[in-house]
Amino acid sequence: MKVFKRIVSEKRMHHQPSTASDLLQNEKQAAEISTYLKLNEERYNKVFDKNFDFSLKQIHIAGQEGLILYLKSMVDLNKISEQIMERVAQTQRQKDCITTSKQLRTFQKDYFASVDVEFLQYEHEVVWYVLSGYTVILIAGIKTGMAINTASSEQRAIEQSNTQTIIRGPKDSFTESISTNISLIRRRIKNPQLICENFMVGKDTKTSICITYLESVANPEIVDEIRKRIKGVNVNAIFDSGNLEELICDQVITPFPTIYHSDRPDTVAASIIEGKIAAIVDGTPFVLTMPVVLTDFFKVSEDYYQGFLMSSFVRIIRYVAFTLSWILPAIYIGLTTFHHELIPTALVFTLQAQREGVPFPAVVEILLMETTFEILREAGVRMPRAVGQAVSIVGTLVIGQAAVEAGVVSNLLVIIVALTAIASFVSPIYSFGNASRLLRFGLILITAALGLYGMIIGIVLVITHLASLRSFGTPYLAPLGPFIVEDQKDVFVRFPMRQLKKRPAYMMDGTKTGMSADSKQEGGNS
Amino acid sequence: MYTIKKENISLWQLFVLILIFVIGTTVVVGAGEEAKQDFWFAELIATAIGMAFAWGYYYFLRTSNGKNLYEVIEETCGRIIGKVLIFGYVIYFFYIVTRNIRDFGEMMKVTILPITPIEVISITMMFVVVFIVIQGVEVLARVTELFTPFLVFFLLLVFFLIFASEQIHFENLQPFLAEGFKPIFSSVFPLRSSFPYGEMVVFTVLMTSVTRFNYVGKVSVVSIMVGGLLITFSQVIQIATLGEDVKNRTLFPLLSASREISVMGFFERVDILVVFILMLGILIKVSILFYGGLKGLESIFNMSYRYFIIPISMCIPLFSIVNADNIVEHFEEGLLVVPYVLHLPFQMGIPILLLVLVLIRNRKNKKVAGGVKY
Amino acid sequence: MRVVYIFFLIAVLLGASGCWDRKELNEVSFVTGMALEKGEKHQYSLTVEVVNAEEFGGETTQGNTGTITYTMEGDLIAELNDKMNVGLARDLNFSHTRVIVIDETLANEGIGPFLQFLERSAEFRNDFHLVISRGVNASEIISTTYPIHRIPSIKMDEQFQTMEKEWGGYPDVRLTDFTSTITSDGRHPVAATVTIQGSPEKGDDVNNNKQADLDAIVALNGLSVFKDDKLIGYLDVEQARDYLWTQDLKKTILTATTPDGNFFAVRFFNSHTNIQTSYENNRPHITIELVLEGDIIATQSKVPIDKLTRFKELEEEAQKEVEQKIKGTITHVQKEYGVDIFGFGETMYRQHYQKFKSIKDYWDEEFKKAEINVNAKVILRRDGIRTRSFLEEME
Repeated sequence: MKVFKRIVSEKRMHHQPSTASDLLQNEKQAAEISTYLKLNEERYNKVFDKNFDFSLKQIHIAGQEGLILYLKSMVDLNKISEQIMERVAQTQRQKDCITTSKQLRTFQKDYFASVDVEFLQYEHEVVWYVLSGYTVILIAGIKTGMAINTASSEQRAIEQSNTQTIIRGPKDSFTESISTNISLIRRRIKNPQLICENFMVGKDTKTSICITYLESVANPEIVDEIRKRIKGVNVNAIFDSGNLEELICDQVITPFPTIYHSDRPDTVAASIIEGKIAAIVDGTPFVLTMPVVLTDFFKVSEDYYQGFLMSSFVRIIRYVAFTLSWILPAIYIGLTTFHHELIPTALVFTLQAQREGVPFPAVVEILLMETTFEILREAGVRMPRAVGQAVSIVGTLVIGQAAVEAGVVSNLLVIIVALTAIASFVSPIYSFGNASRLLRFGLILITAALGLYGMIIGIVLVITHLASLRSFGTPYLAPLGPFIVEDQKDVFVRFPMRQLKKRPAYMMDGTKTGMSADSKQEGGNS
Repeated sequence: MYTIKKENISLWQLFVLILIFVIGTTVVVGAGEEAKQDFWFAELIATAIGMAFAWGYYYFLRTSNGKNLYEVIEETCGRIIGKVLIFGYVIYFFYIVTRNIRDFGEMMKVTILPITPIEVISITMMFVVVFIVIQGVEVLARVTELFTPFLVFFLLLVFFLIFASEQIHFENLQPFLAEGFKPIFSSVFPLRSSFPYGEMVVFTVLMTSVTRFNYVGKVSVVSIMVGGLLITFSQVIQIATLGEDVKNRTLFPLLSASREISVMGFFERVDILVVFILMLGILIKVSILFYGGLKGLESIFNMSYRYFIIPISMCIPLFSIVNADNIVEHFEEGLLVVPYVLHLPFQMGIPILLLVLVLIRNRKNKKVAGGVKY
Repeated sequence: MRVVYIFFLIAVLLGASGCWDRKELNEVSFVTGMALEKGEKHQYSLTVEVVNAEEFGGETTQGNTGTITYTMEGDLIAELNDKMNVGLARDLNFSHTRVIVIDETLANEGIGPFLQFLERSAEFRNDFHLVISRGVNASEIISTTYPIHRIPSIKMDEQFQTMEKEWGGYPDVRLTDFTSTITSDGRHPVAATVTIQGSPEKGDDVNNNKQADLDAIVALNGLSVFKDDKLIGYLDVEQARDYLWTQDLKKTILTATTPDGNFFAVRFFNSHTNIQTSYENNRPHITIELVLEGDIIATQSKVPIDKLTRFKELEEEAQKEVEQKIKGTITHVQKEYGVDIFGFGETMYRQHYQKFKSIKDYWDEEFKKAEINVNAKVILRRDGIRTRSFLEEME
């Protein structure tokens, strides 16, 4: 198995497209910026000259020859003329020309104090900053380059969240811009302890990732572990936090998400206050929070904005709905094909009358309808927005009703399929609701073979799997198994706010010892 | 050399493990023909004996400085004899595992899956046990923690539903102590004390993994008390519902009693709950015993117990079926042979012997130490 | 990687295992009633009543018969159950059986051997009624249709339950009750008796349901008295109610006479029975104490009942009537049948264990000579929404 694994992984490595500037990007062989402008000009032209939007111009700056580099498509040209060119023109009046890096820094303080400036040492940095929309100024004879942020600030406005809607509570949601997202969090938590650490991941995309946490609250071991895992990520591209989620989570082969994601700033801020760590990925509105436990997926921020009685009731409904969404079809199969004696007498004749004339076994019937529903659902998501919803509703109605009238499926079955489908949407996190879709099919099959005994076996297997899961060292079923009494205030019901003073205990305790080492060792045994 | 990785369980986890271990199968299967309608009282006495057992095992581990059963055996009996003795325990635990699996298979066969081969039931059951045990005792403890509320809730629900169906006739419990204490004692000893309380000997392997060892004794005793009360209550319900005559002629009295349930014409036919209770109970019990046996193999061969899981788990369903040709042989073996040949020596004889050896050695050590010091 | 293996194993396991116990709902027929008679060639003749489910689905109803009956002979019921497909289409499922009717001629010879099969089988549950057919064949009972429910056994089930709840007169005897009384030393079993009013032949027709005055109807006919598992006699419906009074009766209506010779009726909604036993002068003494709570629902007397003294009078009359009725029934059983169906022996077993142990082998003889005392205490609470009757002003 190991041999096979190695071969596959080697194949994958070779498959990587090597970019033209491989050498420049390799930090280990970092080349310093040359002091000769001609050399610089040649080098960067070689990297970028096939691009129509690359602009490299010679300028006079502070009595020196200089180069100015930027990508026209990435920058705001107004900013360049206002923030750079005008100031560069002013520098012409300066008497003594600058020749050292030190002088460059004082020069920056004189003329570019109000703009976002970075000093660059290496060639690969120059390339990266140009690619990120900065304007880079190189001056003859100085080893240090100057990068000025001129990125065009075109971005989506802050809108309402589409994926996690609530009725009462803040309506804003994250956008694709990392700085906007950080500001949305910082606006909610005005605390100097709020740390934002920056990472860069992805060989080709160089995506910014920001880890945000409250230093006084977050468990330092977990923070270290997250840093370690993010640094260990070795891929070409990160486009969404989903990529990162899969690369840093504890276990991949599981239908359950072990990292929480949200596009609601209030949810993320609340998690950070609890002591969790958020990871914001540039280019996506979905922010990851970790570690996460199973019960977190049944909580919605609105639970805390409305009365605790109502919230508790709704939360219990969510648990019931999730349970129904994966075991209801199995119960139907178990009762109608194995254990007729367990159906109440009055019901059994009605059920039997409905089944009369249905040509398929109940298993085939239910798989047929479930698959049909999954197709409709997928089509509904992928179709253009204008037709999507209408088509999916009509499809469900027409197919459901027609199937019953044609005598292909029984009435009750349509009710069951519809109920499970609706119940699986109740979970506030889409990816968690999806878990029930997978489990449902597995449970249907095992019940079809062994009856309710099989169903119980399936449930036990799922629960055991859940008990063995960990999210960054925290047991996935944390307040329930291991059972923590003081955390029960906010699990199945929500206690009044006055009593919810403490942060969850499972975030603090010492159960995170040997988390990654543990899982790796077990993986090695197989 | 292989070093054994230390896994920890909390006191609460130990509590639920013992609770489920004790009530798991006992609430459902029938026993106690001798004591007739006083069997619930016999059960109370057995609970007291069980508490003594639990404290005894804790005392045994405490005097041997928190070493587990296998380490104590190896230390006191030497390498060769020690290993033979450990092997005896391993076989003993695995044998109880096969008996439990067979019990469960028979129950499924006669109640809800009459045509499905018992092999399939045994194998699937063992598969689940392997899936739990392979992940370690921590996961086992967590799974138990999760199942406990369900199990206890379903048990109480069954009691409540029987009660609500007006099926409980407390006059069935009379006359009390009609024949004196003799039949009660004969049903308590050795049968009811060795099963399920004596089987607690497997916890001498687990107790040392508890983080706060000093409280283990108290927690175990309280746990047995709670479990014993639940079992007693279950017996009261069974006798009051079915009458001692029918109850003693029934294989699984709680199942039969639950078939009497009919509340509001809708809450009827809920006996699957009892199957569910029994299944979870057996699952946990078998997992604990299986883990205990595997730990023995670990200490004999000095290899991680995970290496033995797959081969041993393949043998167990086979032996559970080969052990007895039919259900009568199975039960006769369990009632007439096992308590005397296996339970008595392994649950009481050897531990007491070991305790004496440890005490003697402790005294010697103290004398030696005392001589040096003063 | 391990997880992949495990999923693979599950797949193999599922694929390799057939679905042994799988049986689609439309592959079985549910049996709701069974009738047992003496066979001509073999020991038994068994009739099963099978539900035609299509008639109960709303849209699928075609006006056909709701149930189908089929009869077969054999030496053991266990064998017949699976052999019924000689004539019936589908596999029979007995878990929803509601009524088992036993023919009186068969019951005379003993029904124990047949009951042990029912008790041993896991498919039969303990929720069917065990009744004896009197004067008609048992198979005719389960084929007499009725417009409501259209399944004869379900009709009987509801009929019996309502009867038990509203008036008494039906002993709720289930299988385990019956078997545990057979084995008990201090009690003999009873069962309900049913018969057909009208012509049994015409009841077996859906058209029977199309008229207001049914040609045949299944009616309760009191109690069957058993000695161990053999039927030895009957009690009528009134006596059945009296019998139940000694057990535990919830609700009933009693008609008694006022001191001035008119009828009045009392609805008892709360009744508590307590039996005390003792053994003196070589015979058992049995004291039945009843506490009854009831309302006056009718009186034909012209004497107004808005006086406390009148209430007391009526209470006393009702009390006498109850005592007399119960004592009469017990004496009747003592003289006529000489078997203890009331469970006095069981009560003695509980109250005087050592004494009962010495006489248990000839308890029936002891029961015959037992002295019975019935003490009833009637408490009347109210008398309806009119305080005085218009009868007194009619003069």
